[in-house]
Amino acid sequence: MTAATSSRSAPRPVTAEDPPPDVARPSGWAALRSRIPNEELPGIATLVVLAVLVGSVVIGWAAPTTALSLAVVALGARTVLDARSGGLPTGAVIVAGALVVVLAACWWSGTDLDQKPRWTTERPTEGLAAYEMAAGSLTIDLTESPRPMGVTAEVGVGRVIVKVPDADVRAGRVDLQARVAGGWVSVPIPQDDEVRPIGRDAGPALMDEVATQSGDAPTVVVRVDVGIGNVEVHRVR
Amino acid sequence: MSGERRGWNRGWDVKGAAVGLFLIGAGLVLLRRDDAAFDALPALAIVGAVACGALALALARLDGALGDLLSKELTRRRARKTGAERI
Repeated sequence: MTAATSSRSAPRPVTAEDPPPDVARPSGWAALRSRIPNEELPGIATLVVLAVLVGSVVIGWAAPTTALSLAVVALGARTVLDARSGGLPTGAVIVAGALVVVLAACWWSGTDLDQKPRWTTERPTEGLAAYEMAAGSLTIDLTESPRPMGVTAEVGVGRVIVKVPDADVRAGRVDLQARVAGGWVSVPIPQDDEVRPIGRDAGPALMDEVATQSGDAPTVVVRVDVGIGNVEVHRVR
Repeated sequence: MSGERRGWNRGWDVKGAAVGLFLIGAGLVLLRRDDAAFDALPALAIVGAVACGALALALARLDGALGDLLSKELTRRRARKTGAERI
């Protein structure tokens, strides 16, 4: 083999001045599709479904409970799809599991997640009053209520403030029992108060229950039951 | 269950499939909120987990069998077409 034949058969080295080789490039939707790696498609589809569900709740097309349940179904379907290629989306499984636990706990405890939280102040004017709320803040003002007065309040998630006259507390006319499944009951006691006839100043506790020390004939009876949150008793002077 | 096979059937993760099916079932139960299901919720969860495991195994085997069948058919057609072109 001569030098002339070898230089003829060897390919010419590519330089910077050479034009780029012609490559068939997809256009439009195909171009966008070609940029997305196949491995990411289930994740992207899941995010789109979750975004649609969040949007439907924000707009008001779907109730939160329905959207969360559908999110669990979507995450489950994504897990099955990933399992087909031998993978397990750990993050999606953890999120879906947490949602299942929360939804089941709400179903079990009777908490309605579809109700919107409320912030309200109630001043009962009749002898008996009962309040029920899924979430929010409930203030029960008993300072000007008639006597005798009986009040019950049930709140799923939130805060309950009970305002009672300090004079009634000192006289032992207030019988208050508050129970919180997850949270605490707070009964603030004034620093200069030598008489402490009401409850205690409770710190945070997972399961808290406080009852006041009332006399033999209480004229104000209050029963408060809170799932998650806190109860505050304010003594109004 | 994971294998070295490629293409149509790359091998199922049966545990993952069972978890996914369980989540789908739980989501549907929570969506319906049936009173009968509420009364038997703990038992339903246990039975559902076992059923989802069995269903995932069946699904993996069925998908594998269908994938093999389809691959063989596609290969046969390709071979037939290639043979015709050569002739």
